[in-house]
Amino acid sequence: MLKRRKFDKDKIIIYTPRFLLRIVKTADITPRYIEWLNDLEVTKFIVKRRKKETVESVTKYVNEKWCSSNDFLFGIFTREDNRHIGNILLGKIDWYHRVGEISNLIGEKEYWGKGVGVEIDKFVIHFAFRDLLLRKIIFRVASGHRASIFKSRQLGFSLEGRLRKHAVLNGKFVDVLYFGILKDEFYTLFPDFK
Amino acid sequence: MRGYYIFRKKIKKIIKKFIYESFNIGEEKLHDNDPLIHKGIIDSYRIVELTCFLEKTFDITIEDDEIIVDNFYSINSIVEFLSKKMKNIKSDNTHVKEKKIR
Repeated sequence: MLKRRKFDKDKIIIYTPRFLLRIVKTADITPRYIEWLNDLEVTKFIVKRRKKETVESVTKYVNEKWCSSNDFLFGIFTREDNRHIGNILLGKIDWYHRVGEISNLIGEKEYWGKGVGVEIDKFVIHFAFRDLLLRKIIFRVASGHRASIFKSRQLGFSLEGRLRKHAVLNGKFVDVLYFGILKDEFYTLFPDFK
Repeated sequence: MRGYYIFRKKIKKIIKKFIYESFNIGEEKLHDNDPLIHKGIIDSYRIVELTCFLEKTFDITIEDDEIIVDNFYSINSIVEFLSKKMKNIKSDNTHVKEKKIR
Protein backbone atom coordinates (compact mmCIF):
# COMPACT_ATOMS: atom_id res chain seq x y z
CA MET A 1 0.00 0.00 0.00
CA LEU A 2 1.22 3.46 -0.87
CA LYS A 3 1.61 5.65 2.19
CA ARG A 4 -0.21 8.92 2.24
CA ARG A 5 2.44 11.39 1.16
CA LYS A 6 2.98 14.75 2.73
CA PHE A 7 3.47 17.63 0.36
CA ASP A 8 4.44 21.17 1.06
CA LYS A 9 1.62 22.64 -0.95
CA ASP A 10 3.22 26.06 -0.97
CA LYS A 11 6.06 24.71 -3.07
CA ILE A 12 4.03 22.98 -5.75
CA ILE A 13 4.13 24.93 -8.98
CA ILE A 14 3.30 23.52 -12.38
CA TYR A 15 4.29 25.41 -15.50
CA THR A 16 2.41 24.86 -18.75
CA PRO A 17 3.25 26.77 -21.94
CA ARG A 18 0.75 29.53 -21.16
CA PHE A 19 -0.13 29.11 -17.50
CA LEU A 20 1.24 28.65 -14.03
CA LEU A 21 -0.65 26.41 -11.65
CA ARG A 22 -0.26 26.77 -7.90
CA ILE A 23 -2.37 25.80 -4.93
CA VAL A 24 -5.11 28.33 -4.22
CA LYS A 25 -4.74 30.24 -0.97
CA THR A 26 -7.20 32.47 0.84
CA ALA A 27 -5.23 35.45 -0.48
CA ASP A 28 -6.40 34.46 -3.98
CA ILE A 29 -10.06 34.92 -3.07
CA THR A 30 -11.05 38.07 -4.86
CA PRO A 31 -14.47 39.56 -5.69
CA ARG A 32 -13.87 38.38 -9.26
CA TYR A 33 -13.36 34.79 -8.08
CA ILE A 34 -16.66 34.93 -6.12
CA GLU A 35 -18.30 36.40 -9.23
CA TRP A 36 -17.39 33.34 -11.35
CA LEU A 37 -18.84 30.99 -8.78
CA ASN A 38 -22.15 32.85 -8.81
CA ASP A 39 -22.28 33.13 -12.59
CA LEU A 40 -24.85 30.62 -13.82
CA GLU A 41 -23.17 30.41 -17.22
CA VAL A 42 -19.82 29.48 -15.68
CA THR A 43 -21.32 26.91 -13.33
CA LYS A 44 -24.01 25.67 -15.74
CA PHE A 45 -22.72 22.10 -15.78
CA ILE A 46 -21.38 21.85 -12.26
CA VAL A 47 -23.31 19.14 -10.48
CA LYS A 48 -23.66 20.45 -6.98
CA ARG A 49 -26.29 21.98 -4.80
CA ARG A 50 -26.85 25.56 -5.87
CA LYS A 51 -26.13 28.13 -3.24
CA LYS A 52 -24.90 31.65 -3.32
CA GLU A 53 -21.18 31.73 -2.78
CA THR A 54 -19.74 34.33 -0.45
CA VAL A 55 -16.25 35.24 0.73
CA GLU A 56 -16.93 33.16 3.87
CA SER A 57 -18.12 30.04 2.02
CA VAL A 58 -15.24 30.18 -0.48
CA THR A 59 -12.70 30.81 2.29
CA LYS A 60 -14.02 27.74 4.12
CA TYR A 61 -13.77 25.68 0.92
CA VAL A 62 -10.25 26.87 0.07
CA ASN A 63 -9.06 26.21 3.63
CA GLU A 64 -10.56 22.73 3.61
CA LYS A 65 -8.79 21.91 0.36
CA TRP A 66 -5.52 23.42 1.59
CA CYS A 67 -5.58 21.29 4.75
CA SER A 68 -6.68 18.11 3.02
CA SER A 69 -3.94 15.74 1.92
CA ASN A 70 -6.39 14.18 -0.54
CA ASP A 71 -7.07 17.34 -2.52
CA PHE A 72 -4.99 19.70 -4.62
CA LEU A 73 -6.92 22.80 -5.64
CA PHE A 74 -4.79 24.57 -8.23
CA GLY A 75 -5.42 28.09 -9.38
CA ILE A 76 -4.78 28.72 -13.07
CA PHE A 77 -2.74 31.90 -13.52
CA THR A 78 -1.60 33.38 -16.80
CA ARG A 79 2.17 33.42 -17.15
CA GLU A 80 1.94 36.68 -19.02
CA ASP A 81 0.29 38.80 -16.32
CA ASN A 82 -0.38 36.48 -13.38
CA ARG A 83 -4.13 36.74 -13.86
CA HIS A 84 -6.27 34.16 -12.04
CA ILE A 85 -8.60 32.72 -14.70
CA GLY A 86 -9.92 29.55 -13.11
CA ASN A 87 -9.21 26.52 -10.98
CA ILE A 88 -8.46 22.86 -11.44
CA LEU A 89 -9.05 20.36 -8.68
CA LEU A 90 -7.20 17.10 -8.40
CA GLY A 91 -9.15 15.67 -5.54
CA LYS A 92 -10.78 12.76 -3.78
CA ILE A 93 -7.45 10.96 -3.88
CA ASP A 94 -7.66 7.44 -2.57
CA TRP A 95 -4.07 6.63 -1.61
CA TYR A 96 -4.80 2.94 -1.14
CA HIS A 97 -6.24 2.43 -4.61
CA ARG A 98 -4.11 5.27 -6.04
CA VAL A 99 -7.00 6.88 -7.83
CA GLY A 100 -7.89 10.55 -8.04
CA GLU A 101 -10.50 12.70 -9.67
CA ILE A 102 -10.01 15.77 -11.81
CA SER A 103 -12.34 18.68 -12.49
CA ASN A 104 -11.86 22.22 -13.63
CA LEU A 105 -13.58 25.53 -13.96
CA ILE A 106 -12.54 28.34 -16.28
CA GLY A 107 -14.07 31.44 -14.78
CA GLU A 108 -12.86 34.03 -17.27
CA LYS A 109 -15.05 33.54 -20.33
CA GLU A 110 -12.57 35.12 -22.72
CA TYR A 111 -10.44 32.00 -22.17
CA TRP A 112 -13.22 29.63 -23.22
CA GLY A 113 -12.52 27.90 -26.50
CA LYS A 114 -8.78 28.49 -26.29
CA GLY A 115 -7.70 24.99 -25.34
CA VAL A 116 -7.02 25.92 -21.70
CA GLY A 117 -8.68 22.80 -20.30
CA VAL A 118 -6.73 20.37 -22.46
CA GLU A 119 -3.43 22.17 -21.79
CA ILE A 120 -3.69 22.30 -18.00
CA ASP A 121 -5.38 18.92 -17.56
CA LYS A 122 -2.46 17.22 -19.31
CA PHE A 123 0.04 18.75 -16.89
CA VAL A 124 -2.04 18.03 -13.78
CA ILE A 125 -2.61 14.42 -14.85
CA HIS A 126 1.13 14.10 -15.44
CA PHE A 127 1.74 15.53 -11.94
CA ALA A 128 -0.73 13.00 -10.50
CA PHE A 129 0.99 10.06 -12.19
CA ARG A 130 4.61 11.14 -11.79
CA ASP A 131 4.67 12.94 -8.44
CA LEU A 132 1.71 11.49 -6.58
CA LEU A 133 2.26 8.02 -8.04
CA LEU A 134 -1.41 7.58 -8.82
CA ARG A 135 -2.36 4.97 -11.40
CA LYS A 136 -5.75 6.17 -12.52
CA ILE A 137 -7.62 9.45 -12.87
CA ILE A 138 -11.34 9.71 -13.20
CA PHE A 139 -13.46 12.51 -14.47
CA ARG A 140 -17.20 12.96 -13.91
CA VAL A 141 -19.39 14.97 -16.21
CA ALA A 142 -23.09 15.62 -16.58
CA SER A 143 -24.62 14.10 -19.67
CA GLY A 144 -24.98 16.67 -22.41
CA HIS A 145 -21.92 18.68 -21.41
CA ARG A 146 -20.37 18.17 -24.82
CA ALA A 147 -17.38 20.45 -24.32
CA SER A 148 -16.18 18.43 -21.33
CA ILE A 149 -17.02 15.11 -22.94
CA PHE A 150 -14.99 16.02 -26.00
CA LYS A 151 -12.13 17.33 -23.89
CA SER A 152 -11.96 14.08 -21.94
CA ARG A 153 -11.83 12.18 -25.23
CA GLN A 154 -9.02 14.41 -26.49
CA LEU A 155 -7.12 13.58 -23.31
CA GLY A 156 -7.57 9.87 -23.91
CA PHE A 157 -10.20 9.15 -21.27
CA SER A 158 -12.57 6.24 -21.87
CA LEU A 159 -16.20 6.23 -20.92
CA GLU A 160 -16.47 3.73 -18.07
CA GLY A 161 -20.01 4.13 -16.89
CA ARG A 162 -23.22 6.06 -16.79
CA LEU A 163 -25.19 6.66 -13.63
CA ARG A 164 -28.72 7.15 -14.85
CA LYS A 165 -30.62 10.24 -13.70
CA HIS A 166 -28.07 10.55 -10.95
CA ALA A 167 -28.01 14.29 -10.40
CA VAL A 168 -30.19 17.33 -10.56
CA LEU A 169 -28.94 19.95 -12.95
CA ASN A 170 -30.87 23.09 -13.77
CA GLY A 171 -34.05 21.53 -12.43
CA LYS A 172 -33.75 18.28 -14.37
CA PHE A 173 -32.51 14.81 -13.51
CA VAL A 174 -29.48 14.05 -15.63
CA ASP A 175 -27.19 11.09 -16.16
CA VAL A 176 -23.65 11.37 -14.84
CA LEU A 177 -20.90 9.92 -17.02
CA TYR A 178 -17.73 8.47 -15.57
CA PHE A 179 -14.57 8.69 -17.64
CA GLY A 180 -11.25 7.19 -16.64
CA ILE A 181 -7.66 7.07 -17.80
CA LEU A 182 -4.87 4.76 -16.67
CA LYS A 183 -1.26 5.84 -16.40
CA ASP A 184 -0.12 3.71 -19.36
CA GLU A 185 -2.89 5.00 -21.58
CA PHE A 186 -1.95 8.59 -20.84
CA TYR A 187 1.75 8.14 -21.59
CA THR A 188 1.00 6.17 -24.74
CA LEU A 189 -1.06 9.07 -26.03
CA PHE A 190 1.33 11.76 -24.79
CA PRO A 191 4.82 10.20 -24.94
CA ASP A 192 6.47 13.63 -24.64
CA PHE A 193 5.40 13.73 -20.99
CA LYS A 194 7.17 10.52 -20.11
CA MET B 1 -25.22 4.17 -55.39
CA ARG B 2 -24.77 7.41 -57.31
CA GLY B 3 -27.41 9.04 -55.12
CA TYR B 4 -25.35 8.06 -52.08
CA TYR B 5 -22.27 9.85 -53.43
CA ILE B 6 -24.27 12.95 -54.25
CA PHE B 7 -25.72 12.83 -50.73
CA ARG B 8 -22.23 12.63 -49.19
CA LYS B 9 -21.00 15.43 -51.42
CA LYS B 10 -23.86 17.63 -50.24
CA ILE B 11 -23.16 16.86 -46.59
CA LYS B 12 -19.50 17.72 -47.12
CA LYS B 13 -20.38 21.03 -48.74
CA ILE B 14 -22.68 22.00 -45.86
CA ILE B 15 -20.10 21.08 -43.21
CA LYS B 16 -17.30 22.91 -45.00
CA LYS B 17 -19.43 26.02 -45.37
CA PHE B 18 -20.25 25.98 -41.66
CA ILE B 19 -16.63 25.47 -40.61
CA TYR B 20 -15.35 28.20 -42.90
CA GLU B 21 -18.01 30.69 -41.84
CA SER B 22 -18.26 29.95 -38.13
CA PHE B 23 -14.70 29.15 -37.17
CA ASN B 24 -12.93 31.98 -38.99
CA ILE B 25 -10.65 29.80 -41.05
CA GLY B 26 -9.86 32.72 -43.33
CA GLU B 27 -7.96 32.06 -46.49
CA GLU B 28 -6.38 28.86 -45.25
CA LYS B 29 -7.17 25.99 -47.56
CA LEU B 30 -8.69 23.11 -45.69
CA HIS B 31 -8.32 19.64 -47.13
CA ASP B 32 -10.88 16.95 -46.48
CA ASN B 33 -8.44 14.79 -44.53
CA ASP B 34 -6.78 17.57 -42.55
CA PRO B 35 -6.78 16.90 -38.79
CA LEU B 36 -9.23 19.50 -37.53
CA ILE B 37 -8.37 19.00 -33.87
CA HIS B 38 -4.59 19.09 -34.27
CA LYS B 39 -4.91 22.20 -36.41
CA GLY B 40 -6.90 23.86 -33.62
CA ILE B 41 -9.99 24.26 -35.79
CA ILE B 42 -12.17 22.11 -33.55
CA ASP B 43 -11.80 22.22 -29.79
CA SER B 44 -14.01 21.37 -26.87
CA TYR B 45 -15.83 24.70 -27.17
CA ARG B 46 -16.42 24.58 -30.92
CA ILE B 47 -17.59 20.98 -30.76
CA VAL B 48 -20.72 22.28 -29.03
CA GLU B 49 -21.46 24.69 -31.88
CA LEU B 50 -20.67 22.09 -34.53
CA THR B 51 -22.78 19.31 -33.02
CA CYS B 52 -25.74 21.66 -32.46
CA PHE B 53 -25.47 22.76 -36.08
CA LEU B 54 -25.37 19.17 -37.34
CA GLU B 55 -28.36 18.21 -35.21
CA LYS B 56 -30.44 21.11 -36.48
CA THR B 57 -29.40 20.81 -40.11
CA PHE B 58 -29.72 17.04 -40.47
CA ASP B 59 -32.49 16.50 -37.90
CA ILE B 60 -30.50 14.03 -35.86
CA THR B 61 -29.55 13.62 -32.20
CA ILE B 62 -25.89 13.16 -31.38
CA GLU B 63 -25.45 11.04 -28.27
CA ASP B 64 -22.80 11.53 -25.58
CA ASP B 65 -20.93 8.40 -26.63
CA GLU B 66 -20.72 9.60 -30.24
CA ILE B 67 -18.70 12.65 -29.20
CA ILE B 68 -15.35 11.00 -29.78
CA VAL B 69 -12.23 12.25 -31.52
CA ASP B 70 -12.56 9.73 -34.39
CA ASN B 71 -15.94 11.11 -35.46
CA PHE B 72 -14.63 14.67 -35.70
CA TYR B 73 -11.03 14.08 -36.75
CA SER B 74 -11.41 15.54 -40.25
CA ILE B 75 -14.11 16.72 -42.64
CA ASN B 76 -14.17 13.24 -44.14
CA SER B 77 -14.59 11.70 -40.67
CA ILE B 78 -17.59 13.93 -39.96
CA VAL B 79 -19.13 13.03 -43.32
CA GLU B 80 -18.55 9.34 -42.61
CA PHE B 81 -20.06 9.62 -39.14
CA LEU B 82 -23.13 11.49 -40.41
CA SER B 83 -23.65 9.17 -43.38
CA LYS B 84 -23.60 6.12 -41.11
CA LYS B 85 -25.85 7.76 -38.59
CA MET B 86 -28.39 8.90 -41.16
CA LYS B 87 -28.31 5.52 -42.85
CA ASN B 88 -29.18 3.89 -39.52
CA ILE B 89 -32.00 6.35 -38.90
CA LYS B 90 -33.33 5.68 -42.39
CA SER B 91 -33.26 1.91 -41.89
CA ASP B 92 -34.89 2.31 -38.45
CA ASN B 93 -37.71 4.32 -40.01
CA THR B 94 -38.13 1.74 -42.77
CA HIS B 95 -38.45 -0.89 -40.10
CA VAL B 96 -41.20 1.12 -38.39
CA LYS B 97 -43.02 1.63 -41.68
CA GLU B 98 -42.88 -2.08 -42.46
CA LYS B 99 -44.27 -2.84 -39.04
CA LYS B 100 -47.15 -0.47 -39.61
CA ILE B 101 -47.99 -2.01 -42.97
CA ARG B 102 -48.22 -5.45 -41.44
